[in-house]
Amino acid sequence: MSFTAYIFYFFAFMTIVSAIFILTTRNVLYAAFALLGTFLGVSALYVFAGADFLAMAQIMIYIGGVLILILFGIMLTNRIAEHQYLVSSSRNSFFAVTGGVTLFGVLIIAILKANFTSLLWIQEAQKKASVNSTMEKIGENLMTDFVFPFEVAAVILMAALMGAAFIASQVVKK
Amino acid sequence: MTKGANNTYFGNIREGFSSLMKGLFLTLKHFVDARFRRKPIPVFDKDYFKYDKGIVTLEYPHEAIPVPDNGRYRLHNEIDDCIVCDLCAKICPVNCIEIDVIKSTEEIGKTSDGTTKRLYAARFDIDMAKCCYCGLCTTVCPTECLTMTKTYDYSEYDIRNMVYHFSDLTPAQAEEKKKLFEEQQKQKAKVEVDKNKGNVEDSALKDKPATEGEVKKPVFKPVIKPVIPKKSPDQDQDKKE
Amino acid sequence: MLAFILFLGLLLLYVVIAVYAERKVSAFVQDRIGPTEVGYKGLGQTVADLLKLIQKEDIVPSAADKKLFLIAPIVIFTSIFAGFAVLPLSPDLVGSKVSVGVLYLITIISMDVIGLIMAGWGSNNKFSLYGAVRSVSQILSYEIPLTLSILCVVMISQTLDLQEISFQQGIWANHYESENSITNYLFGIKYFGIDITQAGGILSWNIFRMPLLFFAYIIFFIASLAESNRAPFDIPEAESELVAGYHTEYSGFRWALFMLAEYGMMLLVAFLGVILFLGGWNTPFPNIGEVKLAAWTSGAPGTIAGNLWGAFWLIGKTILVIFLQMMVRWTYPRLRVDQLMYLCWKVLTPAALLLVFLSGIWRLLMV
Repeated sequence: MSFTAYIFYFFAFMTIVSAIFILTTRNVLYAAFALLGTFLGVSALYVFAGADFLAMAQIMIYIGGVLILILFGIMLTNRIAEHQYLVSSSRNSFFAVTGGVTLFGVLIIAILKANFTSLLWIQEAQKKASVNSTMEKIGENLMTDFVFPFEVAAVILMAALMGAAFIASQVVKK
Repeated sequence: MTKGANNTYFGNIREGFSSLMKGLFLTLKHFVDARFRRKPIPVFDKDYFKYDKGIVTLEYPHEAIPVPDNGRYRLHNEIDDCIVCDLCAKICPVNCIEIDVIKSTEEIGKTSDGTTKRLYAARFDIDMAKCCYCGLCTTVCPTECLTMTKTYDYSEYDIRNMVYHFSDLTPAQAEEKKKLFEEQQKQKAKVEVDKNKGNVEDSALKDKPATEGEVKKPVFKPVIKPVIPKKSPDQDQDKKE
Repeated sequence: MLAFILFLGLLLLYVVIAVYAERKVSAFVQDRIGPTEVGYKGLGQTVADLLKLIQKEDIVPSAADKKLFLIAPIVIFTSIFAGFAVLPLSPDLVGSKVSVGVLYLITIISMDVIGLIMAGWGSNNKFSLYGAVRSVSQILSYEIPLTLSILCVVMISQTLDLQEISFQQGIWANHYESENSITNYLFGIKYFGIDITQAGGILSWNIFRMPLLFFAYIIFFIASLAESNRAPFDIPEAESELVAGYHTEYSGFRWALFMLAEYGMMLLVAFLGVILFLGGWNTPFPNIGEVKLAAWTSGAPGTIAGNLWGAFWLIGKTILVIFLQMMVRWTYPRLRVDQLMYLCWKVLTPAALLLVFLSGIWRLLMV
């Protein structure tokens, strides 16, 4: 195994371990912080998949934005100081376990049966000697083929931002 | 431009920018001027007021500004000139001077200004840790033996070292002088008794000499007068009537 | 790997020197002398301080959230040190040749916000928590003008690769392994037709290729001060209000890590500013006719001379920027929270947006 492979397994391990930690821990704040490990690991895996822009977007949006929002949400709402951690009780463990195991089995079978090497885009990617950045392609596509969805998304986000600012700035009248 | 002259959005930005630049240049000027240094010269030096820029720090243990000769810092007592009058101990507002007196059997000598010395100081201690440097003790000193010197850096690791002993008598010597004086008093008393033999016993008791070497101090009792509010004349008249 | 060791060494050396320099600069600004006793002119003062810090007991408050408290400094330092991975120190020396360098740098340093929350929350101390919350709100807000001002450069340079941006700003513009050749015109305007690709020097720096980028650099500089929690934007650790902000409860080596991260951030943003706006590792002297000042003061990429000159110019410019950061710190008083937000949202962000727009137009003039 090459050095790169070790790094790959390290990040894969980090992703899974922190994901399992999120599931098992009873402290919701720890779970949120463990998300950092998961997000980082996932973005590292994106880098291994040659999707450098996606990896950066993953860190920027999920770690820089969503995670911080979650942390603030937990700190401001949950009364952690009195150790009243949010504990979700499993009401129907039988169905949960069956559902989970079934889904896992189906996915495993699907992955094992799929013949990835015969896929066209993987063959193309393997032909290329070096991995080129996806930046340029993403940029060009966003500005040409996908300019309408891109702009719609921008307008929706803008509306959401303005709405949030409006709600936050409203003075409560008695 | 006066501050807040243009209190609009762009006015604020312009004013903020200009004042920020001004501040930055001011500090930069000081930074550049840091190549100059103020010399450690005393205030009576003619160049004292010439240093108007550069570093002002005095690296104290390595350099110091000279203190004038009449600096009023640590107390010093020239015990040879001291007549042990106890005035300094009395005037001291913080009671930092402690004096034990032994009367002498004869005249000890003269101070440098010709005053006769009749008392020994068994103890003449000044606790400089208590001293408030008011200088009253030096003012009242009749022979000007107690003075303030220009030594100001005399800090100690042990506070007991701040007590300065000025007495030149060793404890043994002090004991000896005390005994000598007691002997003399006894002798005197004997002579008295011999002279007035047959007198009433009481008088001997009354004239009992101070054998313990105590000095009777005049006791000053502050008398607090009750403040009587002045009454208006018509009130007085009312009372009279 | 070489870049990793170099940057780690550079960072540690820098912190030792910068703390000393900061004390000396502040002293000179205030007409004092600064440290004098340890070593010649007090040069050993920082080393002595560091030795003391390392010897100190690693105190964890009994009421603190122990795991978060212990991890936080490591998260902060790691995220900031990771930012150095994409900085081109010289034409050939760069930790990672990624084509998304700028984006990576912005995102990875935003990770230290998580560490700050960890430290603030884990300390279980109101000052720490206040400091962390203030710091997070400040860093998140100032990321917007910071990113917008960087976006101006990216639009002019048409790349996110920091090494390519560096190459574009000098006489070696066409030595980089990119397909299209570059012609630098004076002030970037093709219409005048004054080709300065071979003149290089200060004329081909980004602030000259597109003069409006000078204003972008001012915005970048202000925002970077806020990002690294330095005065006048040091309200997260305002010592007169919050004791020491999010690192109130830390001592010894972990506190040293916080300091290391803070000074590392200073160095990182100074480096980034120099690379993006001030020509990176390129020489400031242009070639004027036969007087080949630029060629004399820099070497061709790939040669040892080229690397040494590159590192010299980059570090030299960075030191100047850091000196400016220090002067700013010792000149201006701390901003109030509302002033901080006013500056960010009502002054810097609109100005940066306008500059982004103008940069787009300028780019059209350049081709």
